[in-house]
Amino acid sequence: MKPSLQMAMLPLATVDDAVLAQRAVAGDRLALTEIFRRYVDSVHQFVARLRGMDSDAVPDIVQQTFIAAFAAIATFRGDTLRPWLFGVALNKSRMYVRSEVRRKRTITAAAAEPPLANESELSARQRLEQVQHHIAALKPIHREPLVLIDMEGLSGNQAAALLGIPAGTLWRRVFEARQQLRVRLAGGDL
Amino acid sequence: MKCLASTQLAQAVTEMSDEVSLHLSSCAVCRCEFDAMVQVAQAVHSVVAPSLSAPRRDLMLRAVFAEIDGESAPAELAAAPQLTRRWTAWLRFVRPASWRVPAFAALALLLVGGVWWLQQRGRHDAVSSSELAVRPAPVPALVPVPVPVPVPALVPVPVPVPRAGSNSPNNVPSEGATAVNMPSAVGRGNPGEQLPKSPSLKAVDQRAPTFAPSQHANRSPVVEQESLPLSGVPSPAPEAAPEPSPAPAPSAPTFADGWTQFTRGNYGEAIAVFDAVREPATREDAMYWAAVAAARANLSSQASSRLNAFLAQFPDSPRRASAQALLQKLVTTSAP
Repeated sequence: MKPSLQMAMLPLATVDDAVLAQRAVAGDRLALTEIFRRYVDSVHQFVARLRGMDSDAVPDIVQQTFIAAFAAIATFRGDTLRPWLFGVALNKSRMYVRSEVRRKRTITAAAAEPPLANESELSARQRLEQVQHHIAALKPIHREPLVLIDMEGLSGNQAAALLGIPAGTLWRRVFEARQQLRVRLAGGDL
Repeated sequence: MKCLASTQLAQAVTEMSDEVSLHLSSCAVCRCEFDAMVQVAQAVHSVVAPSLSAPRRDLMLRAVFAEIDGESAPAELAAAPQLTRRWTAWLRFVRPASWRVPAFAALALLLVGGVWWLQQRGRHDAVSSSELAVRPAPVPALVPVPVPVPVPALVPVPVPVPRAGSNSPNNVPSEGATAVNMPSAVGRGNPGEQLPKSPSLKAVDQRAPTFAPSQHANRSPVVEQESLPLSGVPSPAPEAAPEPSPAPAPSAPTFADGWTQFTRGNYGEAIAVFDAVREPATREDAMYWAAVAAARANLSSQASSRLNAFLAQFPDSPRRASAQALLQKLVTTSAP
């Protein structure tokens, strides 16, 4: 049995990303559907964390991410599609940020909110919302590494490659982002 | 013992190494910093992003495939704002798909035709503007400028008139036109524009060896304007040069002699000659120019009295406005 035929006969849920990508390049519509089904939640959560949870643009960015990814699936090189899709989503999110003015206003408004003074007064939900606001208030150069490392769980090398920066720069930015969050969560101001 | 760098601390939260772990076990400062950073990372990690609902996922998948296939998006997503639109997105509305190539070609043809038309139009505009560039720009306001105007030769009669004080034939001007500079003329002309030579004046140049003034025959607007020595005097509207009468009046030589003296600046003699004119045909002009000569000779009171006499004797004269203006100017300038 030829390898290509053997690959085509494998159930899609069990094949790895590399095989899925090859089948998608060959024009297999089911492979594209499987990629979408497999990673749509991850991409959606990643974009939501990048953009802020209440952003109306998240579904649109996710949709454009998969459109662009499927159009450029032939350029995929690697074992797993997740970081690659994150990279596409990151680019789409950046493009959206450039063309959006409201985003800046939202970030500014979120950053201007006074932190809650007393830790004991915070419920768990309030604290989560506060963390979300503070993450959204970070600059993109700090927010993106933080989301990739602490929220999405990517390795340092993956995140650095995705962002196109050296590993040392990545960790320095992660450190600075955590420090800023630490200060803000403690009620301080930057 | 050297403490950990910030990058090492940051990396240790998710990618702990043996070296860092060993250091943290022995350094309280770095351990405290590391614990704080772990707390922040945990707080960040605890933030849960919302997931897509199953219907929303299906809808999004259909929209993605519709975009890839170049078809119209599902109706449920039609109202959703699109992040980016390809410039060929309009082709999806062309059904069936086999018509898309002709539609695209038609659009391209329209674009090329439009560009060509614009280029042609631009060329036409360029020609028009070059044509306009050679035309003189219109002058918004008439400004007083010296305008050289050819003046018809005032030729004396061949027979000299015997008169006192005229002992030299040099007083007779030479035949031919003379150009008179008009510093105070406010004429029709724009700067640099030559007033057209009147056909009647040309006829005088060609055929008239004698000057035969009719009534107001010498009321050349150019000469009249030139003769006013005072600036600011309202000038009458220029008149067309009248046709010279072929029948010379008896006082024409006298008036011509006075005019010659006037143009040469001999105002005293000009006044005397003008006063000698008694014929009604030229008396009006002679009185007027005698007053002007008196004004030029700075004889303000005499000029005023002459102008008053002129206005009283010829109340319907065409020079009435000029005379009144000059009189007013004299009164104004002579007032203390």
